[in-house]
Amino acid sequence: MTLTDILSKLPSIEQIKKFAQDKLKNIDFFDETYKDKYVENVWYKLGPVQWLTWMLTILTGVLLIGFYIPTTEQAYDSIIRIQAEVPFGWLIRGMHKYAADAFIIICTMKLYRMFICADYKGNRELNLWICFFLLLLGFYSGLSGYLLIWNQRAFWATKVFATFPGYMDQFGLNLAFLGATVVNKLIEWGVPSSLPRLPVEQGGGILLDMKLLNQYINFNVGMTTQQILLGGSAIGQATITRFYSMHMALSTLGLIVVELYFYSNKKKRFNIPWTEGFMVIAMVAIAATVFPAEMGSRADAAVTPLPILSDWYFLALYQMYKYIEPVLATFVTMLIPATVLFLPFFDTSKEIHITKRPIIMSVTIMGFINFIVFSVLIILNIANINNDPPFWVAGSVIIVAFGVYFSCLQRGNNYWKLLLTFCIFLGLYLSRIHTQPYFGLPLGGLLDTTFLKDGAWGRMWIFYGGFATLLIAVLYIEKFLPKKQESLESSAVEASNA
Amino acid sequence: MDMKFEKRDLIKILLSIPVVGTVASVLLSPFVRYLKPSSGPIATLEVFKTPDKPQAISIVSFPVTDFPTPWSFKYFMFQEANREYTSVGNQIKTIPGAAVRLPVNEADGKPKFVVFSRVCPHLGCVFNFVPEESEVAKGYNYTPTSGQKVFACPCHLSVYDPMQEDTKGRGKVVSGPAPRSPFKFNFSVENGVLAIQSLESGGIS
Repeated sequence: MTLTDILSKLPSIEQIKKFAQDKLKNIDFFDETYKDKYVENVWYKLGPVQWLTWMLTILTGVLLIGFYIPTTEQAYDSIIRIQAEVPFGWLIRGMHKYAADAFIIICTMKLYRMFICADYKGNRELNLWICFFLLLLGFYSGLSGYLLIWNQRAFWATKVFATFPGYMDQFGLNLAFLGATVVNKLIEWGVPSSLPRLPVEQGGGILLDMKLLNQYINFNVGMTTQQILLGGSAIGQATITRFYSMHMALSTLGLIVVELYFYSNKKKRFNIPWTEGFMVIAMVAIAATVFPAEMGSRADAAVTPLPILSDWYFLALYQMYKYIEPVLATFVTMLIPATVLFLPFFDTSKEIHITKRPIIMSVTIMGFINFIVFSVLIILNIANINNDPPFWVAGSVIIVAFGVYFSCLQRGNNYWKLLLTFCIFLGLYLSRIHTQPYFGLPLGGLLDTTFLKDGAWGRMWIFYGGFATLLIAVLYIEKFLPKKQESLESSAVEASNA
Repeated sequence: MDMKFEKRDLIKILLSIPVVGTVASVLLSPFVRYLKPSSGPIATLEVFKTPDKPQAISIVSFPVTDFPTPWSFKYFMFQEANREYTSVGNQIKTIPGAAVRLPVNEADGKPKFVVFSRVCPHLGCVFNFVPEESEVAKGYNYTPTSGQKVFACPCHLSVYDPMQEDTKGRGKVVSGPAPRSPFKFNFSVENGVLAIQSLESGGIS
């Protein structure tokens, strides 16, 4: 195969243009193209409610600007004043908080609906992206908005949120270690090399110059992100100014885009009856009255209180950061949004029903269970961070493995491929256990990590490898294994009946 | 299949990468620079960079008599000489630290100390010296062996043991996700005074 052969297989500019146009044609922000579909499926009311809670948050936020003072000295006091002295200030602030919480809940529910009802099929993947970016907007606004109160919980949640991107700078080093592991294996197998080596009593692996590597691999992307987020290396006045402006600017930019869209196609923003809309507003107002928004204690840069928790929607992530080493945790944090955004593109069959798409189903269930279990563990404070990981890693892997298993079953008698898939998952599971000293199994010969001083690198190696294997398995099954003919026909019959 | 790419196109694309890259970085770097304030002058070359070894504005010192028994400890705030530019002008960076007397002695019979930065090397929270064993077991998900006194971080429950060493010195991580032992202050004990002069390189967070 020559270079020109490969180049001729690449998509042309026209094909890329058509791909983008197909996706852009079917854009949908708040379920306005599913008009009246909510009669048969009530979950299609989520879109209008999502719009309503967003508008409610913006409206109450605009009202709050009138009394809020964005300085480190006065922010906390001005919130106390809004809460205690300004007439109905407590109601406006409470509604701002609970409407924002509702927006995040509804975005999440809508994402699940999109995965379960296959709303992304038929060139509608971008709708899922829109919903996901609205959720990210909710997350960022929630985090930045929380810091504006300037209390302890917000301060330390921001500290953690702003420090973890720094670990992105170590991804390159980890990949270098991955390369070194491969080279070591090759040398062990007798491939000649003139690379400098460690003495035999230290493992005999190749010598890596950390400082030199760091100079070439580290582009300081993480540290730059961190400094741009905070406006310096510490949380201070610069941070509060930046968070205050971005808190409003991002919502305003989103609002402009949405309004341009609705202006250009004259669709209705709010499809469901307004009586139901008022019920949502009433629910938010009642929540603000019955459970007044908390204040916490004033932020103190010198004291981290125990226990310290983040906002409810970050609790699961917070728990994950306790379990695994930070480079891997940062990688997983970036992997989750990537999965949500790109998984739909691999689901290319015409199947709509969730049980006919087992891989999507198992990943959806796995994500939901992990979120709930991690949140419960951190709230009740019953986790044992030293002993738990094998259990939840095994749980997650087994749930996804079941998806792959049933996906194989629907594709006929590919038993050897099935066996192969299971071996991959078993290997992934056992190797993860192997790195946990508590559950040490006699598998030490499988992975040679002795030349690495720190066990974390070995785990990273396994994780990259395991993830790549998982991805290849899923891609292979979804794309290349032919489906059983009868199952295709039966689903076609079902579709025509419907 | 008809050709979609000529070799000429490929060469054009390859040649345009450095040109576009240069123009983009020239246009973008002032913008990034604006968003990312820092203390020193624009330092791209290694020789212009200020050495990353935080010195104290005024040396923090304790009389050794402040540490009468093993495991007695003092918290302090270390103020760094390199000021950082922020939106409210040049600010002094303040780093919380802790000095602890260990239950072992130096070769000359004087007590041994550890002086740690209390900024967690994991995600930047401020950790504490927790001498109470039951408190560690209850709050930090780690049961110390009898007589073991540890530092513990409230955020992600990293536990550091000042009596054990890892590759970066004392304060080995015995539980939790932290990637290394705490950053250490450089100090000296002379004439009955514990003087804390500077912080280990890379220790600001």
